[in-house]
Amino acid sequence: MGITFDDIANIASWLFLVYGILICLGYLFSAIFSIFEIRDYKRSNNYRDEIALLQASELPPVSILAPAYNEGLNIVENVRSLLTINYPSFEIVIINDGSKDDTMQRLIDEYDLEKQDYLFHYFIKTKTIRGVYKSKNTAFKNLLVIDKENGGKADALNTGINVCSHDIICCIDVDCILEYDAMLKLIKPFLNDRKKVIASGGVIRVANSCVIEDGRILEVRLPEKFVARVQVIEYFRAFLMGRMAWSRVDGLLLISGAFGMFDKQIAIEAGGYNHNTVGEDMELLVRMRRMMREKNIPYKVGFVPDPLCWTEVPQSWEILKRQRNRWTRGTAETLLLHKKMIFNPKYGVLGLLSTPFWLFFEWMAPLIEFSGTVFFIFLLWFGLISWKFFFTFLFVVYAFAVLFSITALFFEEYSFQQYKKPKYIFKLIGTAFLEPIVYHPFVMWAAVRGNWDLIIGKKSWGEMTRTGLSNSSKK
Amino acid sequence: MKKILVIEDNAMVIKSLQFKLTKDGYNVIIAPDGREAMKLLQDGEYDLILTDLNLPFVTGNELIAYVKENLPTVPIIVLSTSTQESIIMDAFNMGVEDFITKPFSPNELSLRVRRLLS
Amino acid sequence: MAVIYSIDLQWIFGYLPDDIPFVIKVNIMMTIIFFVFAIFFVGFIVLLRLYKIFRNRKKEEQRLLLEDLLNSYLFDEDFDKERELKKFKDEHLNKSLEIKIAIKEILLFHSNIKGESAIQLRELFLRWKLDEFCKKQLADRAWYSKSRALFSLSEMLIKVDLEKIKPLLNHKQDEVRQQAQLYFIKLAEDNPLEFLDHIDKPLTLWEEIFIEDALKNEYHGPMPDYSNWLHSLQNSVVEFAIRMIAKFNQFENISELLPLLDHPSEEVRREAIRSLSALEHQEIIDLLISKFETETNLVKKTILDAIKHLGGYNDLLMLKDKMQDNEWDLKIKYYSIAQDFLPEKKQSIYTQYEKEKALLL
Repeated sequence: MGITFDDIANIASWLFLVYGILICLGYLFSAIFSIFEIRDYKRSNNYRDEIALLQASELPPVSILAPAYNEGLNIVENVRSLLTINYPSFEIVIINDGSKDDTMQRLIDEYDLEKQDYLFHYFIKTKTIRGVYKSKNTAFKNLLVIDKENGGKADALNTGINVCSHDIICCIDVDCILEYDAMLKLIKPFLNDRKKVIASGGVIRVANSCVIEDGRILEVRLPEKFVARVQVIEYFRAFLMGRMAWSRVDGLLLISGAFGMFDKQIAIEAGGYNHNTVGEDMELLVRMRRMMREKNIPYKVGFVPDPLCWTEVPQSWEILKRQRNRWTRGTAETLLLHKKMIFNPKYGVLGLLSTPFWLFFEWMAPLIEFSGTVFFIFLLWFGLISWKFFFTFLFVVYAFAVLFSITALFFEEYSFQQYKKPKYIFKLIGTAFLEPIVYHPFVMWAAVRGNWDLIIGKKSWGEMTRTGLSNSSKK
Repeated sequence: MKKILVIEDNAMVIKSLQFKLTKDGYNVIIAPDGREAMKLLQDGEYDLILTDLNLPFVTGNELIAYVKENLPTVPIIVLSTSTQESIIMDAFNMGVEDFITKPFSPNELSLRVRRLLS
Repeated sequence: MAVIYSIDLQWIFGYLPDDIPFVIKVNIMMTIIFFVFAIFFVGFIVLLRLYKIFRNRKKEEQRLLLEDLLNSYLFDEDFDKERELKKFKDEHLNKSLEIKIAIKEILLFHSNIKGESAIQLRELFLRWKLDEFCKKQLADRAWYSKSRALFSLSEMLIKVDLEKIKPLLNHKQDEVRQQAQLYFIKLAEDNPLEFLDHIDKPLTLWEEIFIEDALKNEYHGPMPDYSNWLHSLQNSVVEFAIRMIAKFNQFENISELLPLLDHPSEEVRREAIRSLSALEHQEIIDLLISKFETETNLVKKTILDAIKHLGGYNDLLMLKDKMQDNEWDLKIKYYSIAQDFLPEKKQSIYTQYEKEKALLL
């Protein structure tokens, strides 16, 4: 055998290097695409106040679906703020997913609900509906509450899809906070495209530590806790650089479960949310896109760069770990379900760019990084590489990570500048320098564990889905 | 001096209404959102209410319902961008005295206010 | 970038001891490059922040000045127009930013106000010669300047050579195209939709919303006869024309709408049904019932809506056996319309639906 241990080490080193360079190039391109997208978007803002005109126009009516599981504490206020959404024609559909607390009773008491003989059909198979409620008070005439047996978030949303009456649905987390004109902005892609628009999504922001009153953000503040602050930067990277670029090449694979609009008919045809995966938001969009492509119908997925929705992110390491574990499994499950698309030119951008990207840079990245680290420590241990090499290489990676975050911060500064106080920007810069050391290894590990759970623990699925309901908005 | 409560969230419209109605000799109180308006309504007395329908926190309709129930003698003028028949009819059915659509003519508005207050 | 790269290379390599292996040299170099960029961006962020703070402060100052001035100009009878306006122009309308904010503020006032005050605002726009600024903007190569100029000029009803605007109807940027459409409507004395014959891309719903708004609120000439566009080659234009016939109550065009119930496009057929229904043309009920069975699912839904609006329970009954077993969306619609027609039998209709469900599933 001519291959020695050295050769293997050599080849592996080169592979890791190539992977690293590919990642850098990927990020570089996404940054370039994003900056063009942001610039064009900024420029398209006219003098005109479109919002006032839209309020008064006949826009397509929207059904807003919000699943609730054990939300008794805040459900009344959350529904109240949903009812003041600024949109000419909508219904609010709250789906009580078999809560074990008093969610249902509170809604009945506060909004004067009455059980109705409601006409509906299980277009998508779901758990049994116990009852559909409407208010006796005409001020709440666009509120519909569904009481059903517990089946997880995907099942709850499917129930909403079955019962709701309008052709466009908007799925949101009941506890997320919408900008005043969020709905009017999110509908625009549906109206202003010559292709069939099947879905549209907006930008999600971190609500931790913000001053919130009656379901509205009064003042944007930077999260006080480091864990949450890092996620602000993560969201900048994901939305201002990632999604923005993907939207420019029409390659979006994910619309946040926290706030997204869909064409109901297409969603039903595609089969609705899949309750066998924890990544139901990503999986549905991929399935819808795949279906459109296979039917050869030209279509588009819209993306609105404005921050439209604010959500609470995990403040504790423990919950963060569970969230990332879940995200990893969601990504992996979705990609496995649709592995046929990966590298398949039949699916265009999705097949050749989006799915491979998700495979290598989202799903595999933590695994490769983890094994790379182990590998290098191993080499170091056997004296195959020098300390100098090891540390200088570490510095390169660190410097790149910092540069990438700082670029995202720059994009935010250039575009929306939500964090007005000067001290926030310095705190964010500081956070960007700390993230690769303190935070990144942790989420990497959580993702590795997620993959491990994926392999061994198929049984823990249902449980995770259910407990995750209250906090499963994906970035 | 007659007191008018203006409930409106558009800063430019607020300024202009304040300017014009003050010139006309009224005491103008501003509420930039529905919640603030509720507070002001509970604490003070007004001779007329001029309100938008799309408001933060508390919707215009809720506000109208509150006024009609608790302060039935206070006339309400709605100032809204809505030109939809159903919305205008809903407002009149709830008992508002007048409905002015935006863009509005300040002179006409001032006339309608004077008529309701005389 | 290439320059920085080579300088860094020289600089670092020159200072690094010769006995360091090449890979490590590369590592050190990359680290430094990335950090230099990071620090460069940090600097940029800080500068950008300072610039924005400064600019926003100036904007706000200018805006407040204008707000006071415009309110006095419009509503204060004792206001010394000649003097104050000239003074403002001399002192506060010199820089491009100041002019842009003035334009924006006047447009904002104008969008909320109509009547005599609106005319005064347009006079002010000309008096301050803001139209000249807009015309220059229109000639600018950047599309966003063009679209803003078009918007300002159209709002202020300022005439420019239409031949200059016509090519912009088919500009590659959506925003420019849309503003050009609106320009034609707002400034037209008659025939505001003539431009529809010159567009080469379908209208979007978004554009139609704005066109309709402009027709309703900003065009003051005689209403066009929308039947002129019922045979346009663009289906989107046909759909729009059909809708407008109903919106503007052009009953005289009902006979023109009827043939469109057989149009090859599903969307056109639906639009025709909706408009005929909105025009209360009861005579179509029988026709729709006869077409129901062979129509597509979406058109069937639209027919049900039309029956709800125009017909009665007996008309609805005619459709009962014409729905496919699996068309549950139609059945739900059917039964809920039945409930609307016979509110006293709501309960029994619900039971009927449940029975049918049990039978078929």
